[in-house]
Amino acid sequence: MPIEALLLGLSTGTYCVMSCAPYALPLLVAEGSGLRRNAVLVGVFLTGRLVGYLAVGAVLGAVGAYALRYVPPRAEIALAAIGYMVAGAFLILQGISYTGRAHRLCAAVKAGAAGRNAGVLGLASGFSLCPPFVAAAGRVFALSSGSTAGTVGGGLLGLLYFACFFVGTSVFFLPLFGLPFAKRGVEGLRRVARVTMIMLGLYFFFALGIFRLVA
Amino acid sequence: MNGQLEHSMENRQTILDPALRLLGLAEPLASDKDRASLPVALVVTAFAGYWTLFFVMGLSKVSLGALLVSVWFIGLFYLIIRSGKPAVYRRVFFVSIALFFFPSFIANLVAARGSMALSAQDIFANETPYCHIVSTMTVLPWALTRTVIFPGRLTGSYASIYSMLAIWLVASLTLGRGWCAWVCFYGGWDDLFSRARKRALISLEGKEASVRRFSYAMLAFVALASLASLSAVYCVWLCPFKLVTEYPAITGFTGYLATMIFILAFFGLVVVMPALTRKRFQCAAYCPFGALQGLIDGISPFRIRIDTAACIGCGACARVCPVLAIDKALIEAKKAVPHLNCVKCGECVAACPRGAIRLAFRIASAPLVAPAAAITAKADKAPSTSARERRMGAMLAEIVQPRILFATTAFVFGMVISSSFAVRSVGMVIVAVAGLFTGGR
Repeated sequence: MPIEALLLGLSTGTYCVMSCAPYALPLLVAEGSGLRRNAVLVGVFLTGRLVGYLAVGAVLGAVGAYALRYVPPRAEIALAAIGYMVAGAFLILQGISYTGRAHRLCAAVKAGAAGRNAGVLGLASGFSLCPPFVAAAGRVFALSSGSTAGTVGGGLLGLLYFACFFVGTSVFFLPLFGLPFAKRGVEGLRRVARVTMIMLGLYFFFALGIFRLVA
Repeated sequence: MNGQLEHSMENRQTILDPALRLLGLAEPLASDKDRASLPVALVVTAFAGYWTLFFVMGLSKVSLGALLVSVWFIGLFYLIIRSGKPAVYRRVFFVSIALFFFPSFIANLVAARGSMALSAQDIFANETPYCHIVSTMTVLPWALTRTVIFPGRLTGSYASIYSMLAIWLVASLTLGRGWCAWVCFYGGWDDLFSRARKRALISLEGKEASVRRFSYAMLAFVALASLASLSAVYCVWLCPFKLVTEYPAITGFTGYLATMIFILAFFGLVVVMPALTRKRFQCAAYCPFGALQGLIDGISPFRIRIDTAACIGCGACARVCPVLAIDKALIEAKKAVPHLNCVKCGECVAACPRGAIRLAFRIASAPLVAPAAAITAKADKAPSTSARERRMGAMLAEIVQPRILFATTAFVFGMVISSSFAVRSVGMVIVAVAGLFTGGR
């Protein structure tokens, strides 16, 4: 089973990069250009993502077939929408905080900030309903719907499955560690990234967040 | 050196000038440096004319509309090459592409679907026409996962994904961001409205870098948001040209909201801002495709070059540049090339009082002297060459000048993209006029 989860992550990881990298890319480009600083931010982002995956895996594994009975059908869409709203809000505030005209709220977000925000963005990305994520969730659901349904064992099974799945997909995030090399010598890239961050935040918050939640 | 670059300007009239002045599309002066000799003009017009006829008549039926369109475009190309006012006639060519495009496109949609609105059924049937701007959203997902996130046909029609991508790729290899001044069937709107007033009410001087950066931010946003949501975000929410092409059917709150954005974007960015700033504001600040073309412009063999030794820093080029690719900072820094977002429209070439700006080959290291003159002079010194050989040599040398090659290539690409739309639009007008005389019988 761990091998299966790892292989699922490895075989579908490009889709994960597609849906999760946009959360982190503007922040990484907008922040300082040092290799170490970038590595820390990527690490925090991936840790946040791992926490999100483990939470989903544990809950799905523990609840198993009971989910059909007790969880409303649109819960996963609502969860993903809330994830987008949180990510959007943090992207907007982080983007505004770079302008130097941030007011108190934005300043609070900035205080100490990019690292923590990378973690929040990673966590939010852990709930995005990309195709590999849905496949992994479906598999955990199927595996834990038998004798382990509703038990701690089921929860651990889900946890282990998503941990291995995370390892498989994370291979595709390794290029993010080399971002400072790509940024070097490109004028104005950080400013562009800051504007992009606000735009992306607005899109996440409204189009993928609120509008999906109320639709 | 400076003496060689001085050029004559005169008030050479063409038959179209009064109408162009009325539309604000004309400048009064023609320049000899931008004027091809008659034999060269005839040869390249014959070449461009062949392709025009191929795309106009070869791909549709021979008709009065096709004939008129052919005459119009071939005539314009001749004027671009021969009149000494290439920037003016490029503008007319570009605006006509935009104006011919939308009636035909809308009429096609109404004929096929009964409405400009795109229903969910059309989307699920992959019947959405693909335009070049969508490339900014589809290329990355395709490269990463071979997933096409746009609900259009892959092959089998003119507006299919593969055919548009192929045209875009070849055009980018040759024209680079020149696409945005010669081929794009949307940009003509900006160009037209940017000439609506004689003076700008809002000056963008000093804000050029911010405007340029915003366009790259738009590109990054559109690409990343499309990756994250696996949908063509710009088409769904932001395209200013939905108003003159097609739009998703309004079926709920988000549909209303998107439609409001489309309307505001068209009037705000394509009509009002260009009119107030006298710049192609939408193309310069908003269009993600333009930003992408700027980034990949390095693969094109052509670019605008500034002779910094001859430049007197008058700023005329910066004032006329429609996309803010030349600014005061660039002139003061004595940089020899405009910023990446230069669309190679030739406005700066026409405006420079010292003839210090011209279209050149990217890899050229030769001084900015007309190669035809240089080669003719060299041939004159060689005693063994006959007069006929010298004339042929001079003609060939003139044909391979960057401005002639570029204008010819760009014009042909314009025809590839827009000729069939033009024929249909003119055909509709002819049918309407004929209907007036025959009472619809």
